[in-house]
Amino acid sequence: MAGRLDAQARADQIRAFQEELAQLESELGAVLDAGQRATIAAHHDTLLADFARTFDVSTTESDRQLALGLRLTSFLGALALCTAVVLFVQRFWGGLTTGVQVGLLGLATAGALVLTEFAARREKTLYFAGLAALVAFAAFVTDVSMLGQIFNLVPSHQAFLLWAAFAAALAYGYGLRLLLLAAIVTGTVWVGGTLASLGGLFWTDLFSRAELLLLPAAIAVALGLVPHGIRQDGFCPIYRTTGLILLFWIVLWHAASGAGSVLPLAPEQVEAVYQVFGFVVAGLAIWAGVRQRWNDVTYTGVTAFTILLYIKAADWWWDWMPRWLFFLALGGIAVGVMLLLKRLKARPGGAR
Amino acid sequence: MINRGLMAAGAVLLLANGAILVNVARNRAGNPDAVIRLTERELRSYVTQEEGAEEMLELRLTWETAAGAGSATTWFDRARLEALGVTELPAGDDTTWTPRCCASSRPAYVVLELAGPAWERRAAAEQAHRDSTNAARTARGVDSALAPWLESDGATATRLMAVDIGPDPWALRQRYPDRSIYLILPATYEADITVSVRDTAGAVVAPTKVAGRIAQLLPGTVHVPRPLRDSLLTLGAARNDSTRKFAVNFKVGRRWEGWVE
Repeated sequence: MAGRLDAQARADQIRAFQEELAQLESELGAVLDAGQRATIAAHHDTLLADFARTFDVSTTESDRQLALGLRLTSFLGALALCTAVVLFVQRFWGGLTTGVQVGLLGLATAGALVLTEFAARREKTLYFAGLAALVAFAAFVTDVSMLGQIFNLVPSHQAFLLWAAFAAALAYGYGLRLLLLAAIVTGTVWVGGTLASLGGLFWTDLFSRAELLLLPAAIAVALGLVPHGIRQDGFCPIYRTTGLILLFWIVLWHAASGAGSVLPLAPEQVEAVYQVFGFVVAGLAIWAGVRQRWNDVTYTGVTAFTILLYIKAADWWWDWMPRWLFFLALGGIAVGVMLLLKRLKARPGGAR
Repeated sequence: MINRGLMAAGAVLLLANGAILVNVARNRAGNPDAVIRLTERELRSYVTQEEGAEEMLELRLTWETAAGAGSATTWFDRARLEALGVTELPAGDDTTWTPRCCASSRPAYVVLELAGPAWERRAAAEQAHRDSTNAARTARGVDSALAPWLESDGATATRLMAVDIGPDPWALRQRYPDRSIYLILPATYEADITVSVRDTAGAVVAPTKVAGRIAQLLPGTVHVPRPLRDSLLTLGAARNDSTRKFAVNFKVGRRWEGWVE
């Protein structure tokens, strides 16, 4: 078994098998003899016990619901603790000397790191470790930001590299997916800021030049294609989905309006380039998603493809078509996409 | 065994804090690049107003861009922009020019002059404007909303004027060697472009205007540490009225980062 997510998937499969067997037997009578039933049940019990011991997976429906509640509570708890840190800073910060401020900033992050390790050693599901790691990340962001404020430093995109490295270290060390998302977001800003600086601009200009984020988006997608270790269970879909969402956001934006592009082309040409590029990438995403059974990639590709069709429809028809007919045409496009997907689904080995 | 991720995160924490503190120490070591006495005219104060919270005091540098030679409103003209490497600027009679992308902020270093010739020229021009408006007011009766401005003598306006910009702070320091008058600080600038307008006959009635604009100083605000914060608050730094009087030494270090003492 590769990791916790695979163990959970197998446990879900066992539960589904047991439910289907019960349903079959209520409809057809006994389909397995007592010996077979005992062998399968013993094997499943052994597997589930092993999964519970090794990965602390949820083996019943109520367990699953509790696990979801724990994840949500862990996230909300982290938010509340981070808010507490910020409010503490606002309440007492002005009264502290510079030395005490610097010391407290470093110690808060270090303390949260120690808590993360402490919690991870005591609990396999990492709910508490995840909470502590998020607090550590928030404390580190506050640390670097406040040091910049205390010492009047010039704002720099290099801070995002530090935050990305910190979040990635915790994400990879403990297998925390929310921290991986934080690392991807901060790393994206760093790459965009670096490209803006190399172009002679101040790094904050990356926010008004979305195309600078195309490279980090592509890097994220590429990292999602690389197999990860057992501990980094579930990292690939996060890389792929985040990268594709960012990439399609930029493509759709410029496919709709080419005015803000850095390409040396007229706005209409920019729109055409991004529309073609968008259709090609969306098509590739759907193809790869179906082929590799990456539902995240398929769904993102289909959504982008449909929005691009709507953009093209607006280009072609909005000015001369009656509004009711235009929206009827959009509905028709949606039905067309659905029929296409149904055909893909019906093919042997199609999307699952 | 200690988790490798924890060790890596701890290393990043140590590295980040260490690098920041070493850079701050290097900036403030030795003789500062400039030491200038600034007052409440050049430093607008911002105080946290949370009820029951310890007050945090931040000072924002207040400055103006000096006028250019003759009747030019600014010295930061097309030629200066081009010298800084901004090339995509429209010609004077170009009515079709459209920016290829959004406004670009570029980093540079700005020279700020305290109570020097640029400020004296500005103060004299302001006074002349006040006098002529006052004369017109006496003759015709002018909107009473202008009264506070007309009756002021400009004694609260900033004396800090941006007088030059360049990519190399050391070259700027050679050009402005007086370290008690000229501050050199990191900043961002933008090109400010108003495209020309033609009448129906095709004649240019308003030519294209191209000027540079200093967008912001970096970071632009100065944190006031204790115990200086307490002294400034005692002097009324938290108040935004005419009773607010204080002065601080503003220093700029070897890495062009400022602080107050």
